[in-house]
Amino acid sequence: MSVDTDPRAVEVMAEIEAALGFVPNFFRAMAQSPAATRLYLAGLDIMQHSSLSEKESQAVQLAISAYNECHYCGPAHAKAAEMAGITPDDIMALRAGDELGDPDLIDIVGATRVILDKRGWLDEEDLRDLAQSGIYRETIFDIIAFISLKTISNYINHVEGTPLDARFQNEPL
Amino acid sequence: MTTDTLADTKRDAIRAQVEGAFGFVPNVVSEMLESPAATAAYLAGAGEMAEATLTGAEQQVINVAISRRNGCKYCQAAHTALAKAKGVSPADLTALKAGDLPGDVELANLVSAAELLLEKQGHLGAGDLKELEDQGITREKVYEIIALIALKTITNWVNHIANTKINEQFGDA
Repeated sequence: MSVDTDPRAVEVMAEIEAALGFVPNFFRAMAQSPAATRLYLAGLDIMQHSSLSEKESQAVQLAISAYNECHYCGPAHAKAAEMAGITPDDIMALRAGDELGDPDLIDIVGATRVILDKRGWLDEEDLRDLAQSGIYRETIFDIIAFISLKTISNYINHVEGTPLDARFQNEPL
Repeated sequence: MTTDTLADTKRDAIRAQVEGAFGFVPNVVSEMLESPAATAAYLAGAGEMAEATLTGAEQQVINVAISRRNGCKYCQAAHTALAKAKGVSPADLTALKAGDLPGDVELANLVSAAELLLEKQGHLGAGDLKELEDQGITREKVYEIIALIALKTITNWVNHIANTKINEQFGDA
């Protein structure tokens, strides 16, 4: 059964279309598991109320997707990142894993990269360093929650080799 | 109401919800509650997995295997206790604890699939997918396993950071 004939997938894709105006190829791929799709959507929705601002959330998600080398997620996130106020230069830097220019984002993106590099094994010194830049456990755990959500989209796109939607290809970035 | 008291109200509500479901508040939840958003995202996600095609016993066995690979002793103990409650045999749980495959062939295949996904960070090739398909592990199940890997990223990594004390309620798991 395909996502176009499985009623559970049809239902979840209709919800995505209502929310986004179309069903991006990634969501179509993920709809093969309605449970994973609902988990992902519920998580993203809840994380809108995390300790991270919208701009920080977008930067963190782009940094994670770049780290995981997700060919689809980078371009797909670029538009949202731009709308959240991230400069084109910083979007490129996020996608390339380079240093950022925006002082609002340098520490939070640095924290994200450390957490990924250490696979969560932060020691006392790491925690002290993060605290010195104003990043405490609440924010660290929020970043981990974003890493969790991006694991779903990044891994599914790896498995699927999801083709980039035409409307994301038009992005200059 | 200040942000802090709002967050505290949210924390109390989550604690009450978890206590209602488990009869106690596992230490990982108390630690994770530094971030009410990450905790709510985790609980919502875990809730969605009730609708997955993987059975409760299969999910718990996969959770043990993921947690073992991530080096999270707390989660290994917690999910071993939950797997036991779902009827997984003591012999299979002993095998999992030692890093061996369970004797039950279907469980063994699922554990191997989870380990493959972790090892390749989601980069499965066509040959891998064909092999899984031949074992009855459909794309839907692959994506459900990815969702479990995502959920365990939250609890495993939070426990790495918090060095969470194992609850005595998990028994000698």
